[in-house]
Amino acid sequence: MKKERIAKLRLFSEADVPVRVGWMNDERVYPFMGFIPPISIDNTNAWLKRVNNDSSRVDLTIVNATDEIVAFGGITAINNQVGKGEFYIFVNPDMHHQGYGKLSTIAICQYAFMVLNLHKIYLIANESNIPARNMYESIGFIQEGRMRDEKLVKGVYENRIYYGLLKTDFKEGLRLPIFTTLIDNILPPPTPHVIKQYVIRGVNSLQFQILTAHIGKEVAA
Amino acid sequence: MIIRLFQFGDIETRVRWMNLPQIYANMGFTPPITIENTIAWYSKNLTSDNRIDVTYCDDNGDILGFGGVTQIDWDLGRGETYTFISPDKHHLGLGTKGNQLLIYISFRLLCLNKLSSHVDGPNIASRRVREKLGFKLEGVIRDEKRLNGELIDRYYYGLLNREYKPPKDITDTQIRITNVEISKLLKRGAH
Repeated sequence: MKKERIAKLRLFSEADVPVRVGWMNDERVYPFMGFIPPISIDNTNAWLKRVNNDSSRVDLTIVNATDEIVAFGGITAINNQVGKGEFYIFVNPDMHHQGYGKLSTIAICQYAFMVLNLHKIYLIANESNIPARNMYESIGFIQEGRMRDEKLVKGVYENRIYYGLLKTDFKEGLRLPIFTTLIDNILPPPTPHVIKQYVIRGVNSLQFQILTAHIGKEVAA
Repeated sequence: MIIRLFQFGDIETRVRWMNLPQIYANMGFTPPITIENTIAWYSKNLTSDNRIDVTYCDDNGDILGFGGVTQIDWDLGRGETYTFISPDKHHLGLGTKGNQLLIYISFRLLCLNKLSSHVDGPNIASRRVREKLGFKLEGVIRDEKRLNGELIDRYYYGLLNREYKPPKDITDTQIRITNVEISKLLKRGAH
C-alpha cells in the first residue's frame, strides 16, 4: 500500500532546539547550509529568543503524520515593502530522498504566499547541489542569476545560483483552490506569529490540502 | 583624473551632492543627508575593515566624483563598487574613468578576487557603463526593489580579477593612495 505523506507546519519552539542543533552539527547537513559547527544548545536558545521578537522572519518546524520532525525551514529577511523573503530548509538527515524536502518546501511556499502574503520567495543554492536545484525547479523556482566565485568550499571557489519564485510561477497543480478558500475564510489578516499551526496533506507529489488550522497566541500542545 | 582616499575635507561636497535628486535617485540614498551624520559615517569608516571610500579629482585637485568598494569580504575577496560623479559633469565619461581607477586599485593593490555591482533595471546608463568596464551580467533579479511605488528588476554584474585587463592608459601618477594607506587597509582585512 502507498504510504501517505503529510507535512504539518508549526512554529519552531524551544522544545525543538536539541534536534535542530543535532542536525546543524551533522556533516550531512551543514556543508549545504553555511553553518559552521560546533553549534551549541545555549547559542541556539539565545538565537531563538532573538528571532521570536523579529518580525522579519518566521521559523517553522515540519512534522509528518506520526509527528516526527522531518525538516526545519522558514522565511527570513522578509521585506514587506517589496513583498519578498528568503527561503531556507534543511531536512532530517535520516530522512533524505523520501520526498519530504519537496513537500515541506511546497507547504512553506504556500504559507509564505497565502498567509504572509509575499509576492516573491528567493533562495541562493550552491551550483554543485544538483538534487536541491532540481527540486526547486520542479516547484517552479526560476534561475535568475549565476553569481560566480561567491563561495569558498574547502578553499575552492564555487558559483552560487539565485532562484526566485513569484506567486505566479508557483506550478498550477500546487495552487489548489481549497487552500486559498480556507486561508481566506478562517485566517485573520496575515501577521506572522498569529497562525500557530496548520496541516497540509500530500495528495500526491504535486497536490495537497489543508486538513486543520489552529489559530491563537500559544503553540498548540 | 586622479584617485585618492576620501578625506574629512570632502564631506561638505559629498553631502551637497547627495541631497540633489540627480544623484540620490540612482544611488538609493534617502535625503536629507546631514553634515553631522556624514561626519559620524566618516569617523566610523576610519576603523571599518570592510570598505574603502575614494575621491576622484582633476589635476588641480578639484573634486570630480566619489566612489568606493563596500561590504568587502576578505575571505572571499569580494566587494561591491559604487561611484557618483559631480552633478554638473555628467555625460563626459568621468564615471567610466573613475570606475577604471577604482577597479585597478581593487584588483592590483587590494588583490580582491571579484567586484560586484547591482544596478536598477531602468538605469540603462549605469548598466551600459558596467558593460563597457568589462563586467559580466550574472543575473536579472525580478521585482527586487520598489522604486517610486513600482517593483523593478535589479541587474547583478560581476567582474573577476582573472578576467580583468587594466586599461593601457592608466599611469602610476594617477594613483594617489600610498603604500602605507594600502597596507593599513589590508592589515584590517587580515584582522
